[in-house]
Amino acid sequence: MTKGTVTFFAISVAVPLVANAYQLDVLTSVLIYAMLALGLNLIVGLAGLLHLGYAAFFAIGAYTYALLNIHWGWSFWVGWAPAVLIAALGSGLVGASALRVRGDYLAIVTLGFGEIIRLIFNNLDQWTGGPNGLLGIAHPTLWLPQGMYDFSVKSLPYYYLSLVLLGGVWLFCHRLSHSRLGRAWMAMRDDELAAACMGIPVLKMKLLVQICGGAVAGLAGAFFAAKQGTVTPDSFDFIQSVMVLSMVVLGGMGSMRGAILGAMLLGVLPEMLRGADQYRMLVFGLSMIVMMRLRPQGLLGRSHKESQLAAH
Amino acid sequence: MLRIDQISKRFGGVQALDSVSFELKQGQVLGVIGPNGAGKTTLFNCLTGVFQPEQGQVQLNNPKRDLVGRRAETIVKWGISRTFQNIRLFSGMSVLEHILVGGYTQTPYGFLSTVLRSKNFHRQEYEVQTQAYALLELLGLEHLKQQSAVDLPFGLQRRLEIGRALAAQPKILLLDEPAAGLNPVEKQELLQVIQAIQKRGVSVILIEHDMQVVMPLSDWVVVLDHGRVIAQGDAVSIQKDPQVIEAYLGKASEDA
Repeated sequence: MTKGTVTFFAISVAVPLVANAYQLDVLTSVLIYAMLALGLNLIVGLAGLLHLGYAAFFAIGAYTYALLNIHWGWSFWVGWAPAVLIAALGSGLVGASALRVRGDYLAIVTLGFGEIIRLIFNNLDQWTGGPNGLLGIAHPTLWLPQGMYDFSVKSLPYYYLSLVLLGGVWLFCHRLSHSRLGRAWMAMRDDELAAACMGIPVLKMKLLVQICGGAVAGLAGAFFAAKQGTVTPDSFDFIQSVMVLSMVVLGGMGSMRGAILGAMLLGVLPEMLRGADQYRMLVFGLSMIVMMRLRPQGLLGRSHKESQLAAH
Repeated sequence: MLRIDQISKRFGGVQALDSVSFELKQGQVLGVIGPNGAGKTTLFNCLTGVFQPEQGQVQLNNPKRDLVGRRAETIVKWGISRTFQNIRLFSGMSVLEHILVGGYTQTPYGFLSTVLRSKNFHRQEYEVQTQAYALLELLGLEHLKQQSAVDLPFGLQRRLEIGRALAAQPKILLLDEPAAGLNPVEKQELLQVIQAIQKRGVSVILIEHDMQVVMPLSDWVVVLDHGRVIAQGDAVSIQKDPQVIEAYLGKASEDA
């Protein structure tokens, strides 16, 4: 753990001392975005697979937990695990079917799958409640010596829980990227043939990174469902996938700190601009354009100098 | 050590390799020469699993293994690694990271070991890092280890590619025109690097145009032209071979 990481988490722990309930709520959704951005950063930033359907695995996590909770009364403390597994499996299956397409084609295929999964949730009325979604997901509770503590609709416990989950996701992604797996992903992102000739099983690694990314989205989804108490398909549309992707790109592809910074900026910015509602998307788009012009590798990204390599 | 037996490869109407056979002995440097388009790089691609030859066999000894029909990543595991004619470095990675990627096959720890940071993980990471530093020192790149590989001058990029291939601890190293684009000083350094590699017991197959590099290094030279082996032998006899001279310089005109 670097100094920066420790500082980030220390400040985050202290924030509730000065923030009100509304601000904490916004920050909790920022932390969910941060988890998603870290997960997508594995796929897009580290392994270089342009994925446009990431929200689908967020949805799978949310629906899995919601169904388990509603029908069998699974609490969040156990329900998150199957949510993670099934989202990982879903991501793996999408990945497996798109194993041989790359670049723009992969983007289109994943976009298609993302929409298909959302539409399935939208149309399987008897199980998912269709467009109305699932209602009445129990809020998490904690056993404390003084008795049962119900998270209910308070802001503070969710904020801290999301912070803990983000810590877990951070550790997971950090360990993956600082290992032979992370290096292999970067290598195949930069040059698939050279990577294969160094012994990296490219297809297997592509599958693995999508499974890992899907797992992270599943965890975020389970938390989201537990916090909201309801899930509806429109929380997981294409715009969500694009939003998370923008966070990764803005922060700098391949940079974990960048992904979190991107989530903070793009998560908080729309809330701050809520007063100027009509101009929100305008400012959002404009800031992205300015960023791309001034710092194409993202705020904290490493620069790629492919042109220099290609020159020889 | 490596026996190439009658391998052929065709691209549409072009017979890129036509019944090519030769043998690499343990500890040898084997030079492959020939005019442009003779099929040298295709030969490397067939040996490393990038292409599959339509006919023929490639056999590795000790233990005995058949390379035809195998994937590139399997062949590296069996001890053959390579460099590329057009340098193929990873544009987003540092010098040290390149060498560590080269050590991929030397660190077989799995997913759970990675996430849980098991003993296996720490031991193998330690080994591969130690090996990486030793290699950087051998290649004189240790002071550049944090640099982005694409920022290196051309000669050092070629050398880094060799280092990356060596990190896989190959028994056989395939070098595809390692001297192309180097200045005379860099060529001399390259000669020394290849000799050092040979001293470590690694056999080398070397594709090269530059005779001042191939001839002093090679124990055996194979000459390709239009996909066929037109001659093979030691460096001295090859330089006198009339067919080789003809392939490079053309035939003397009859009525001249």
